[in-house]
Amino acid sequence: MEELAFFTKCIRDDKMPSCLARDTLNFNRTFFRGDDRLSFTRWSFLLGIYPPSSVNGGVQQYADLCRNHIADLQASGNRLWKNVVRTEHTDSVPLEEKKKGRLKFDQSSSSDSDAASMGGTDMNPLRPVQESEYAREFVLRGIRKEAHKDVERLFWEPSLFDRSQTRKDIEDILIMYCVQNACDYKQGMHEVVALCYYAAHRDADLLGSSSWTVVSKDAILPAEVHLMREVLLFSYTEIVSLVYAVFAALMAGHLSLKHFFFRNPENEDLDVLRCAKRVQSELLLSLDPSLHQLLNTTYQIESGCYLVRWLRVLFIREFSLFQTVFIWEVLFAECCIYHLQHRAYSLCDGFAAALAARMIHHVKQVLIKGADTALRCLVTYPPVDTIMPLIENAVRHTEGPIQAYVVYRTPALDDYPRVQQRHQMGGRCRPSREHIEFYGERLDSIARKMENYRVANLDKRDGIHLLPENDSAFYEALAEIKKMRDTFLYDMGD
Amino acid sequence: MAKAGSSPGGDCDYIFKIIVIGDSGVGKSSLTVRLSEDVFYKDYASTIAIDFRMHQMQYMDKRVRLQIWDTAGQERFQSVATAFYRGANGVMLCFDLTHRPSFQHLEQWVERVKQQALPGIPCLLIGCKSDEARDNRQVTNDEAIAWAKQHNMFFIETSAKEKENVQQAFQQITKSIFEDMKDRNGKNLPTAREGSVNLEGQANHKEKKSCC
Repeated sequence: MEELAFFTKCIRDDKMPSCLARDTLNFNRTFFRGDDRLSFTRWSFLLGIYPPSSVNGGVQQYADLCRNHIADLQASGNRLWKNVVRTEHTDSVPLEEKKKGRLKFDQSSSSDSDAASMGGTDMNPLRPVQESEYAREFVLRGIRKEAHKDVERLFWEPSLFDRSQTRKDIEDILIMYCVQNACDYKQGMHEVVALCYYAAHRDADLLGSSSWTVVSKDAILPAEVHLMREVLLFSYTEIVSLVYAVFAALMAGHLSLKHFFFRNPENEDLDVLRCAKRVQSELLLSLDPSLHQLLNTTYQIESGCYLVRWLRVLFIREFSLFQTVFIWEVLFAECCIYHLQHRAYSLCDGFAAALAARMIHHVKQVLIKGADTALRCLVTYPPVDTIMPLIENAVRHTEGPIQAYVVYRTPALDDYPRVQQRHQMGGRCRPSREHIEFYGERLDSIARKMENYRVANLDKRDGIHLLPENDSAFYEALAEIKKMRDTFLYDMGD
Repeated sequence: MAKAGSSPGGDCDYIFKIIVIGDSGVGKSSLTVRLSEDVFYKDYASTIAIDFRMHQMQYMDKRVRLQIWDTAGQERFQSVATAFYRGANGVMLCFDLTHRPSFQHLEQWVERVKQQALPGIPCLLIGCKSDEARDNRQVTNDEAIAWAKQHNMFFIETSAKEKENVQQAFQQITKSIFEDMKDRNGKNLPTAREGSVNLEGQANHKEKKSCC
């Protein structure tokens, strides 16, 4: 299994997770990735669930460290679960200090047994007194009831979701999260957990499979790869704890997906609405001004109508599970890069938003047919057969340090039939608009890379600038490239 | 949102925006899917944020296109409410006949409509899952009618599964919207393509019956 050898090498070279992020963003490699990709394991490394390396290096030391770390994670998961179970049975288990009878992030709620959200039981004389143990149990049961309603309606294709244990595990993870974070359950969270659960099981099955063979390269010993496999398999022995850890890291941490579900105290608007507005207003404007005009002015489609769902569950509903798993990998790689560079990360400014803008552009031919058709298309996004070009283009339009890590795939001729046609006609045919746009975007990407490289090098040298004449040459070259880009993309020469 | 009625398509005279609200799991999506696609899915996934469906129908001699906006049961608060309610022509207020809390929560849903939608917007109360209610009814027909009457709206029981009263429910809300237009404009039904169904532009909000 090439993946295991790769992980082992990263650990041995003490380059996890930066090397992993780089590998994820190498579209030359990922395009040809095999079915043995351990996506959930990659997520876990990128989100910091597994320790990045051992202190003294070496695979054996790492294995020991990782095993202890996972054992701690499993123990804390078990402790948390015991608390939940005991609370559900009205034992006197104090929840966190911050819970004052009701579990909330904000004023939004929905539980039908949640008194405050609907107000109906506010007047109920039988409503338990706030802060009592019974009140806590009352709230917890409300959360379970709401989560249960959605989990019961989770009809995903893989047979894993036919099992009652799967539904129970997903519900338990949601309850644990809500208890631990003193919040309500929100619709959509169940699908985020479900995707994590699916990816984790897939990896556990792959790792446990006896059919794989050790691929040993770059002087990695088979024994080291076996050791890595054992450690990872150990982490999957308590899959609920591991999935919970990934879900919690996704919701909080650098990614902060929770702000797409709950109000961020720092912002007046919900972050997901803010992001939706940014996608349809700013990003689409820079990507395709005419389409921006059509959606915003002619059709007057509000971004929240469709983008809230796209963004809140990170495209689960818009793509297949397999496709979404890879989208998340890119997203987590981007987030990891920010973390490695000690920079604050925002979903609104990164790959997720760029992908959403690209997705709108991708269905432009449908959108121009009319307002109703456009709305239907955006709310029920059509299947995308080949997702890699979409992801690659989204990454091209993502600003920030990700550009220093990404390697774009060389375009295949069959992706651009007009190019092929031109070749067949002996180069006499004028390039198509699509072709021009493609190369315009390539130039744009090169310009961004140069800028990022420049910024990164300035950082490294503590702000010491290159000699002025070198600076001048650099910026002149950059300006030339930008001019070419503008000619290609916007028909603007000077 | 699409500008309702601003530019009716070649195949319709009116475009109405209908919003469907109610607690999570009461059967809103099943109702709208039954109307728009004439199918019933037992395994329908919960709605996240908003879904959008279309249905073309005939009302008297008018061709009406319904834009049906189906919201997630939890989305009654800030996140998509503004986009959802803006420009709505009618509201379908749903509850589950076999789940009493969903009926008890109607009061809060009506409050929400009053806060977000145009004053006097036509509303219709819908008791969903009438097929299941044969064995497990938790809300009587009488009390639902009484509640609807108290709030000046009609009540209808539907079963998306058995295709019972689904068309009638949408016919009823369409009728209420036309009557509302008539009341607001103080004249008979406009002739085909005569008036755009854009209530945003109508400042004349009269005291009316059969609406929230």
